[in-house]
Amino acid sequence: MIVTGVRQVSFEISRAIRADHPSLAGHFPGAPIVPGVVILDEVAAALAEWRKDCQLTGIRAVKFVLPLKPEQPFTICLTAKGAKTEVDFCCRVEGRMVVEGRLEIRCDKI
Amino acid sequence: MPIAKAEIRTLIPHAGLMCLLDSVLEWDDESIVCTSETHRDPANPLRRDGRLSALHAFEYGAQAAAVHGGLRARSAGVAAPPYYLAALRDAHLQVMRLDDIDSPLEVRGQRLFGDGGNAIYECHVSVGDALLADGRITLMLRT
Repeated sequence: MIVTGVRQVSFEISRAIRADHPSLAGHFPGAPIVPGVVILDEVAAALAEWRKDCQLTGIRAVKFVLPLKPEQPFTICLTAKGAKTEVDFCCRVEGRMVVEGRLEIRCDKI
Repeated sequence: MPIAKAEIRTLIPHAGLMCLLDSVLEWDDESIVCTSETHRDPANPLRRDGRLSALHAFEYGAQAAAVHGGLRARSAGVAAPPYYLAALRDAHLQVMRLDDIDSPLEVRGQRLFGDGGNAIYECHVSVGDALLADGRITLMLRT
């Protein structure tokens, strides 16, 4: 992890969506794929863990590059941008990018 | 005459509680207006620790766009192609969560681009006059 001064500029965490996640039975029957919004919810949770003083206000852009399957471990990486209201993120499975994007955030303390 | 949930289920592959929209109020070739109260359902499958994040507004928007694609395909006499959410741009959240909103959600989609294959929709999720979330959604054909 890269540290500059007292504030870390990046954060990484590993996650997996369990096969019994309630969204998967209907998304889609017989062919479960983790809904993009469920991945975004995990990214938002990672942001909340990293920057407790910040809240998510929008998504500048996100691309769902590859499907994520249930139980597939993935890493979420968050990286602070020069602009203090933006955070880049990506999700990878075994090094391959599955989701990438840029969040908009609002922080109590800058 | 609104299009009810049973018919929505024939237009998109989302099954069970993941079929989030309750009805289509109106639609034409360029736009669709849907409504839903599933955001208040404790069994909503997108809830996390009992809360439904406002991020899920974009799944409501994506499903409205997919239903629109299904309706257009049906009126053209072809099968509705399976779409998936490929991208989201310029998305804004005016609230943090949806489960504490008492009134039905209105989910609007405006087709900006696309004809049969990939499509881009401007989506607005609102309640009454209050906008909750908006963004541009790209749907792509599942290959």
